[in-house]
Amino acid sequence: MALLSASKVSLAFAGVRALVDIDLQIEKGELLGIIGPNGSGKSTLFNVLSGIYRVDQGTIEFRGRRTERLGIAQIVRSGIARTFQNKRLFGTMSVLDNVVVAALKGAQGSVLGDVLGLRSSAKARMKAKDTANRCLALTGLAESTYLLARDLPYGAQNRLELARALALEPTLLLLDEPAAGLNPSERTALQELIRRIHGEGVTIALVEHDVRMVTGLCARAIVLDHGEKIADGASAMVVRDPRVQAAYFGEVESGEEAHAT
Amino acid sequence: MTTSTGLRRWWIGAAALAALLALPAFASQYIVHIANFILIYTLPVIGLGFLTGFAGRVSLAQGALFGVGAYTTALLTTKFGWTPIATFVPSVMMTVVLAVALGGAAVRLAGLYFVMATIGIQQIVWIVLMNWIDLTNGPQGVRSIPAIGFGNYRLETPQQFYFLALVAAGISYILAKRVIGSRLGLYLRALSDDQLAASSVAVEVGRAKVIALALSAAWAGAGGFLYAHYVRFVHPDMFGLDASVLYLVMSIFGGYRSIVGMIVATGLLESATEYLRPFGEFRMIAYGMILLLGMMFFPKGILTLVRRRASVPAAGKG
Amino acid sequence: MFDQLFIGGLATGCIYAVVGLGFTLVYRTLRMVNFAQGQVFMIGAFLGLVTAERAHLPALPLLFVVSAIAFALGMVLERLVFRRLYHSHEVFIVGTIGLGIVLTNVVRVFFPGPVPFPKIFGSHVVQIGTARFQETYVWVVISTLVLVVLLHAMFTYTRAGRALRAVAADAEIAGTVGVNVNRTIALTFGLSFAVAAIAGVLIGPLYFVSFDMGDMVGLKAFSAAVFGGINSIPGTILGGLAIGVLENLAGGYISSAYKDLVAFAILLVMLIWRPTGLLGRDMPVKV
Repeated sequence: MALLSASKVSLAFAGVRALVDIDLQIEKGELLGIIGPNGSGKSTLFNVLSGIYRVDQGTIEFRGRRTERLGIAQIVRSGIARTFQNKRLFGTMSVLDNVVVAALKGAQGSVLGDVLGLRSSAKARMKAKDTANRCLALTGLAESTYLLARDLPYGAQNRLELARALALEPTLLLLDEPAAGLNPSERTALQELIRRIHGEGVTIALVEHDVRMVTGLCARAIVLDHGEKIADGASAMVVRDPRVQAAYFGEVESGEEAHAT
Repeated sequence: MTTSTGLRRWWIGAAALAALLALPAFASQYIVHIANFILIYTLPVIGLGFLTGFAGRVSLAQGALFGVGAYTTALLTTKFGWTPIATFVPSVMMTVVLAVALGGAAVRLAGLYFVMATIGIQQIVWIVLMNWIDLTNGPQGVRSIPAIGFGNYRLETPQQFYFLALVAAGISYILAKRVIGSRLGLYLRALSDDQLAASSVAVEVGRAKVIALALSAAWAGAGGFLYAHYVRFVHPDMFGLDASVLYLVMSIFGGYRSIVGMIVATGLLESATEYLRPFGEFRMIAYGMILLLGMMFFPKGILTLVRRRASVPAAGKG
Repeated sequence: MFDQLFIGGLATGCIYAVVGLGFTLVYRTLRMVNFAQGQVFMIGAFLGLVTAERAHLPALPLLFVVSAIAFALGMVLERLVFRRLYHSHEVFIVGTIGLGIVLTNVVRVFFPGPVPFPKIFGSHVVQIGTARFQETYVWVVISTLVLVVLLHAMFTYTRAGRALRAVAADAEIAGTVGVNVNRTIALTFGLSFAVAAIAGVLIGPLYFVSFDMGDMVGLKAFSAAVFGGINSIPGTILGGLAIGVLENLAGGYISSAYKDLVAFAILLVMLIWRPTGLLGRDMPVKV
């Protein structure tokens, strides 16, 4: 059984059809790429999978459980984490605190326990802090833990988003254009990082404009265009598909290679 | 954060504490009286801080909630003969229940709409206090509220009350710091920075907001309890929109997330309004100008000026 | 009794509607609430009082003069004061509350007690159905109608009006098509002040004027705006009339003590049920 399976998912905003009859399986342990021109519905798809948008029609099943009616926090607790295309960090909080908030998910103890200084609560807090530090080290932010999130340079903010998502210890990680705005060396580092995370057993779905990154990382890829899925298969094949090339035709995107080399 | 700054802070704190403890010995009764009000007001102000500083929500109902705490204890002691100490828990509970009942559904509203809702709550409570004469005596208020006593010893003079007020303010401060340092504090700061992102890291945003509301009400109710047993007379006009505005200003003036800042701002503002009392309308004009100019030129709170000079990087409290 | 209560309520409702318009105009453009609006209404009443007594002007020129002064005052205050408060909602709220307190108490220095207002609308008693009331009530309703029509015409047909609507819809885009956004915002304040001041002159003959008359009216006009939809002009007018009538009916049939409660209960219920108000549209809220 697929880890996540979406069936006939459709969503429209004010007459605009954002997602049309999407069928999608994500297998456990895979690294799936999701590509498509601007406005094709990639981020909308993620918003639907993570519970931010409610579908008009269709069903989504994750680990055997139906999720299309669940709230955001519930979906996160069931094992799906995501990063955002426009970084959504907690600007006034420190880098460490940004990740600790996530690491507290499912932690033992309670607010009352914290206030009263109960041992079980304190241990859970320590554990969350350790998890947070680990994720920060993994993403190369160990030196910046006490900086305020809003004071970080752009590339570091990207990595903080990722660290925060990792701290949720997800089964499925949705990465929404994590390479946006990164220079080539940062992109390579990011690719390495994603490979490492994948290697630790996390299933990943990656939305990216950088088609080369997708073919480099992902064995399988799906392509969206105007809300519909127009291709689904081995990523090397998919990018050669004439329909896919037609969809990208005329896209003026710096750094993008619409035709596979 | 170097040890020398930490040590210096410790010394300042210890000196302040010593001065506070010794106050009744060298200050006039009037000054102690004002100090009592300052100490009492730190409770609703800090309570409001949970909402404004940490949950990013402005409330103009704190005056009314303060009044609910005051009236609950006033009525239980004068109409039903309860001893004051026994009414503490019911006063706080009553305030919390009322706040959550009226405002619980409103916390989910976007910032400005929530303010509007709290205005509604403030006015409704005030109107009921003023007009439900059978229960509250309406415009006559409730008189002869007994003083708090321990055994045969009653806290009747300002000097006697002062130590209770000091202890209460101290407990309120310590408790508030612990709450802010708990995971709830993290959740509230997160949701006030970016509510969607907070949900996306499994923070139960709705529940956190209601808890913040409940906490702010608890602090307000506790403050009201103290107030009633100090001035020993309550009247609806003490708990109107002006009071709510005053607490909000004190909460904001100190800088959004600094509890110490709120306490200092409470002290400064209350002293200022007391000092200006003999000037009648001009006092109110001065007060209005303080609000207006303060917001125009120090929108982040006056104490942030001081903070910036000391320039200690905010260490992330885990 | 119903007719009496209804017509009386309609008149006060007109006042709430007009003052409420001031809130709505500022909100639509800035997404902020000007808590000094009630005090502007009060200032309008006193401006009217002083002008009427000094210059002995009849109703129409009086309204014109007062609204012109208020308009200018609004633009000046926007430049000097309001502009510095846009930092955040709470700053704007507390700042304008401070402004309101200053205005109230400055007036209080000169007029410490309630003062009667000259009967600029005459003092005949009119009869409609079973209700008898002073002709002032009729004039209030008529003036409000005329004002609304004039405003509608301004918004639809004049360039300034279209600029106001453009800035209200999207200030950034309006700027890029050549609208002077800053001046338009100043005009918005001028207009909201003028409108509130007119309401002040209208209500003058109905009751006494006093320095604290702005507090309750301001809050109720605010509730009216929220009720009808604080980003909708017709909604605000509808809200004002509704609250005026409902609270009068409640006061007459249920209890005069809790009359004030009506406006705030409606406010709270409305916010919980439908925050955008009866006629408000959902403004795109950044999630």
